[in-house]
Amino acid sequence: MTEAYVELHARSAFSFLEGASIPEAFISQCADLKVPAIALLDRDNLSGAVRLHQAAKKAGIRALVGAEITAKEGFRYPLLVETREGYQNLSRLLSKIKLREANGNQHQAAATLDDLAEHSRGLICLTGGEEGPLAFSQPIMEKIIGVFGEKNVYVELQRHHLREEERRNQAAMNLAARFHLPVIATNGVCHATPEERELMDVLTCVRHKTTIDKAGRLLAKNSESHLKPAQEMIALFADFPAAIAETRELAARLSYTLADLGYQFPPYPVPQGETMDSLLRKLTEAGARGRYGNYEGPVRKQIDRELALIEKLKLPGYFLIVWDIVKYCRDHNILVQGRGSAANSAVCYSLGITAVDPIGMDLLFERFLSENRGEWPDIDLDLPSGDQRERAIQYVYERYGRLGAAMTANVISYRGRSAARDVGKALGFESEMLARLSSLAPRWGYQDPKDSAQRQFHESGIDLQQPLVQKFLSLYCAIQDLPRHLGQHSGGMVICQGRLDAVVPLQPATMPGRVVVQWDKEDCADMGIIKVDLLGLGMMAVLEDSIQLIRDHSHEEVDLAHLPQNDPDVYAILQKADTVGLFQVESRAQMACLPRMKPENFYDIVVEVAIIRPGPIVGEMYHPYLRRRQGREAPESLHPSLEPVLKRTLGVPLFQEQLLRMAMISAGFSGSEAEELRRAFGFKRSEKRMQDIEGRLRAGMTNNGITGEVQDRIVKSIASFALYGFPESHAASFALIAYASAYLKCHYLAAFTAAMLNNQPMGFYSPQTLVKDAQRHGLHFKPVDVAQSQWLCSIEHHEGKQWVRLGFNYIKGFREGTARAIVAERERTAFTGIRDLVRRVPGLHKEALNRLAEIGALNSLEAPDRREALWQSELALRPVSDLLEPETPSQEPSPLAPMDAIERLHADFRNSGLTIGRHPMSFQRGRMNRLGVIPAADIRLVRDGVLVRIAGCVICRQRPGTAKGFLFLTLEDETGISNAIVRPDLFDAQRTTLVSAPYLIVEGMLQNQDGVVSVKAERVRPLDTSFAPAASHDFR
Amino acid sequence: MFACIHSNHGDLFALASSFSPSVERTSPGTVVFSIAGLGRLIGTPHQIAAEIGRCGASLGMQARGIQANLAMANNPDTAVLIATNKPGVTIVPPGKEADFLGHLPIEVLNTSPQLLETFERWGIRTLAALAELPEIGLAERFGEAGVYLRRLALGRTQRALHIATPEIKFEKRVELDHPLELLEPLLFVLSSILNELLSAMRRLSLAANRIHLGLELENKSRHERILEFAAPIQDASMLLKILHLDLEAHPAAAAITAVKIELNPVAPQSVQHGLFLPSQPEPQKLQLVLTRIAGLVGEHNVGSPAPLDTHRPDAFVMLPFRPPAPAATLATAEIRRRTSLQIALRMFRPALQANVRVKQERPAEVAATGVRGTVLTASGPWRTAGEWWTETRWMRDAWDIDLSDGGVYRIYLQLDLRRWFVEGVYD
Repeated sequence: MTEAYVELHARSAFSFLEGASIPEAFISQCADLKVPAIALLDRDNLSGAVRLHQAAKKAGIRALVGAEITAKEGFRYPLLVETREGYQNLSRLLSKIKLREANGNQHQAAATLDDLAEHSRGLICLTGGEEGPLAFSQPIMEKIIGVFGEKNVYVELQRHHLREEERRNQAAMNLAARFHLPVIATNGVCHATPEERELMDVLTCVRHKTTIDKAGRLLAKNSESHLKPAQEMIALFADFPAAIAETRELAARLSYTLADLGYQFPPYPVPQGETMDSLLRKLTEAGARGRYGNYEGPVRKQIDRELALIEKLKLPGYFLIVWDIVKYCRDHNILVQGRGSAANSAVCYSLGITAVDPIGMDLLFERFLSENRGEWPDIDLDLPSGDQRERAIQYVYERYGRLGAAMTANVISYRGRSAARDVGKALGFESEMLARLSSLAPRWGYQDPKDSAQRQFHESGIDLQQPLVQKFLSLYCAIQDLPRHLGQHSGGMVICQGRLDAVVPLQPATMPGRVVVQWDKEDCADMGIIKVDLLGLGMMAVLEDSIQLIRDHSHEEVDLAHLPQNDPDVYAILQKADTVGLFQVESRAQMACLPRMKPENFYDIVVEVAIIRPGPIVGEMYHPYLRRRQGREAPESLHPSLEPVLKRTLGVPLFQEQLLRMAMISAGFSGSEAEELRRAFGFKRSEKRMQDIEGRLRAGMTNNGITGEVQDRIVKSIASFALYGFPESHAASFALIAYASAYLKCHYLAAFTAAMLNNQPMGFYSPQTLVKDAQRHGLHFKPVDVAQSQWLCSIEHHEGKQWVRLGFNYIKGFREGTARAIVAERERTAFTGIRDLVRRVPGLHKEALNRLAEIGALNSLEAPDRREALWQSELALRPVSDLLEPETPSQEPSPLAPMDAIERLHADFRNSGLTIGRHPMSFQRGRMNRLGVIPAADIRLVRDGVLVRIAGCVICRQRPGTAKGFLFLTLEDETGISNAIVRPDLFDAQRTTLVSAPYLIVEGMLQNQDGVVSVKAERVRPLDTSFAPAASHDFR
Repeated sequence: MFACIHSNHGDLFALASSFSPSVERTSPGTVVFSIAGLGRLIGTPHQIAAEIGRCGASLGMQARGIQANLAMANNPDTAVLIATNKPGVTIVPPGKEADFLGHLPIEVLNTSPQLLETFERWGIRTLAALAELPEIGLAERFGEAGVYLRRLALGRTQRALHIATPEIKFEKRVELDHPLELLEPLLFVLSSILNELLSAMRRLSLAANRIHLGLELENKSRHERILEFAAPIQDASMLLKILHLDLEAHPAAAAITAVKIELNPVAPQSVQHGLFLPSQPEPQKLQLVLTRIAGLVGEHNVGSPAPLDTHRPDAFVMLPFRPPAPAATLATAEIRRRTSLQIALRMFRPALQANVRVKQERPAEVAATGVRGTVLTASGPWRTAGEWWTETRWMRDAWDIDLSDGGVYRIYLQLDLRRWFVEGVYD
């Protein structure tokens, strides 16, 4: 590194459309150019600071902190952080100006001189380039000096070979002389290399919502705003070497880096005479007695071991805070369950944070917490999605204050379609061309290796020889992964001792009442900021709603913690893959596995949840496990010493914990080393780190006498599992929910189905499929009815059975307020007719009333059929003054013909997306019989290898990344569900039909093995029908 | 009775006009006209239809393979509905309108999408189904619109035609007895045409702001001139002078066999002169002057320069000259006052190619036509680069130099060509 020049004014892509390089690119370029330090001054945020800091740490470069702060007058103050107090001031200043504006007005966030004066200590102000204060007004200099003090203001010179800039520089130097201020050189960097200027211009177009042809002087004048080496900057300022020398002086003065963040996790308030350690021990012991009874032996030993480590790592506060959130949820009837590696902890289990017994299941504690890892443990809480989760989040805000807790951010980056759309728009492509380009962007799980951009462009009729298309392609690639804006992470919350706004800037979230930090969860983890994930899980909401419906309608109390173990009905439906709507085991791949797996106990469900994952599939563990399970292959561990670890999974490693143990046993790794191994092979892979640890792994195995092919196989399985594998504890937590969902479906179908319908969208299947599946299981439905329905689907009792009444929530575009008004009015007095309904519910607009009429929801209001209701509705909606309104409703009969069955079907789909009447395919059955199409219910009776024809409504299309280009189709008819597999070549040949036809006929060889039935498609054609399609779940 | 012709091609208006002076252009490709009284001239509706067909053929429609539908009915709406939706010739006997219309889909009605959606919800898919609905019921629900649609479906509407007024065109074509090679006799012909057209314009209080002169030449080619004027002109002699000058500058390539002039009519310019403002030349004379100048310097070099929104140095476009409004004149004067102290650069257009000796990456000596000397001081490089997405991308380094010949120049190096130019001299 040369110490000659330090770049003190750089703007990254985290300035959102005002910078074209990510922080890591700056660091890489600094390393290449031997620039020893760089200051990142993004506009009104510190979002890129952590990534710069982390990358700089690895490269041995100093990452200096700062930001450009927008002034009310429109210019920007470039501020650099000198001390930790300065950092805290900058963070608070940013939080203040951001929180002052609503989420939608963040672009208006700006600081006044008073704001700056309040937060000026420890900060140094530069004068900027064309967007700086001097370009706006020279007299403001005195005020800036007044705020920051003359020792903390540097007059900034930038030279991009521009005439007008030189004029500004001359004026700036005059001011510097007048006020005796130091002068400093920067390059006002906004991209790392000259080549990125083109991308910068594109981003400018996106920011100004214009095209490159029309952007004119908004674009850069030249490509000089890139990072430059010392010798180039020295040459640029040859007439003023002091400006270069001053960069070194100032950089030396800026002692602060993010390594000195000053973050502290809040202590948990304890009663008099207690410490956090003692309180945690007390609560854990009380909880353990509830869980284990009078526990001794291995349980006590494990709990003591965990508590000792927790105390040693000074983490009791963290556990108490999570326990407090869980307690709040329990006290307020909010279903909550810890997931992830926390389920490996007996302390978490005892505190009621998790529901899986790690000792009973022999789970590995080190996966959760290890002494040498140097990071916070990760506890994720699953909560019912929707209002209940929001209550828990609001509780955390209230408990720790608005400035003490916040959600983590989610950096929305340019990917596929967004990249194609924005680059294409900026280059001025027509909307038709844009649509074609966007459609080329990858959206499939599987990426065909033949699908090069060149081939895709060619097939779409786009001429790659056109220079502009070539530019598009290169810019499309360059813009990938550039941050576009900040969103909010789905559930991550960070909590701080004191004021979080002094640690990281806060800003309002889209959702009212929420605040987000400017760092994403990776950044928070890298900075050691503790995070609690409060995740919304649709199935938790379903379970909670189901329990309430069962309480109300069956007068039974279901306790999920004490469901009957080994319920035969549950295992029966699992074994025959009758799993539509069940948590985690409803996908097509799960359904294909279940009949082979034939789960018989809870641990089998844990395995089932974990086995349909990329890890076991990529690691080629899936088939060996199933063969061993079916007794077609002898269970054999990779090495005899691994027998105890792999015995439970028949010698095949399926869980992350197993790979940790394998490393511990085969190579003599400690628990911490094993965890380090997992992380080295995990998502943030580093070649050097992997090589290093693989070397240690191999050396350890060699020491233990494991060599050759066995060693290679062990290394391979560890490598594939570290990336994709599923923790056993996590699988166990999910398996509990899967079991609960199956139990409720078996024994409380009406409540479960109503709850499922009320929590859409979620899961794998559309409401139509859920309804048809429930009907095949004997559940009856009632249509939406203004005289009976609630906003949500509800349960009614008919003939001693529970029926599900569809709610107003299943009418497209229907407002909840209107539905509630209908219910309130009808509870006051029943509606006498449609006109009465319209008069008493003023919010019922024409479209909503017509939809009600068209799906038969008004039939109970003296309208014998849907058309009669439509006829009357139209009249009821005519504005009539009280004077002219007839006293008695018109008795004129409707001249309209009643709807036939097909028309009713159309009306149902058009207005509610589902029908509780006949399945659309039932109208085609005669024709299907003539075509030799086998109904889904009968297909499993056909023997393997027979040429068959199946048909139905496509309810699922999947092309997973692990399936090598095969497409999996799920078709539904009135008798059930059938599956088809499409070869890659057939997919290529009939891509349009397969991707877009709502109803299909598939012909091919039947595969009927081990109760898993699918058709290997040879021919596919669209089924000619005018029926509206049910929603299909595609490409996950 | 009314007849409606529907076709996507052909001059239907001309065809209809040959049968009736009352022709309605219902939509592009559809005309409807009264055939009342044609019975006594031509005969039965079938004979009238046959005659229309024959006339269409004589207009070349048949020869060009144009397909057209013809419908005759007791009212214009029925005729239009049937002609636009039923191929061939249809003659609807009076009283049978509903029978002929009944099978048509409801979408043929030119009504709002909301109403069509309501009918779709009601299961009303044809005009016959609509016709069966009770009139009072429709009136209660849709008011007059509902009643009208039902009557349309029954074929019972009555209305007057919206007679189309032919567009007034100021154009004339004269075929010459013998080809003209000289300008003078051509001007004689042009004068006659211009006098006639501008007289017609003056009668209607119009003036011309554009002239399109089309000359058909002996060698079967055409010589076209289109001239736009800063101020509309009513004076034929002035227009003739303008054409004279323009044809002198752009003579035809061969003898002329036919002349066509087309004038674009606009309202004449009316200007209220200020009492204390000096009198200005007539704006109409401006065009004459501009045409003279264009004849000297080329038509693309006359007009008002307007800078382009780009960083490209010296990028401008010539816009057609328009006399500034008095207020703008004052603003311009103000701008001049404010900018009078700025240094001016006299541009060399085109820039002078130069030989530049470079020393330590700075220009040291410059030699170009009329410019030669040693560089005493140089400021730069001022670097601009842009339009990287087009083939007109540019990259250049400019320098401001104080040359030993006493001048201060702007020179630049075009980086892609590695060639130097002198762009201008500072005053």
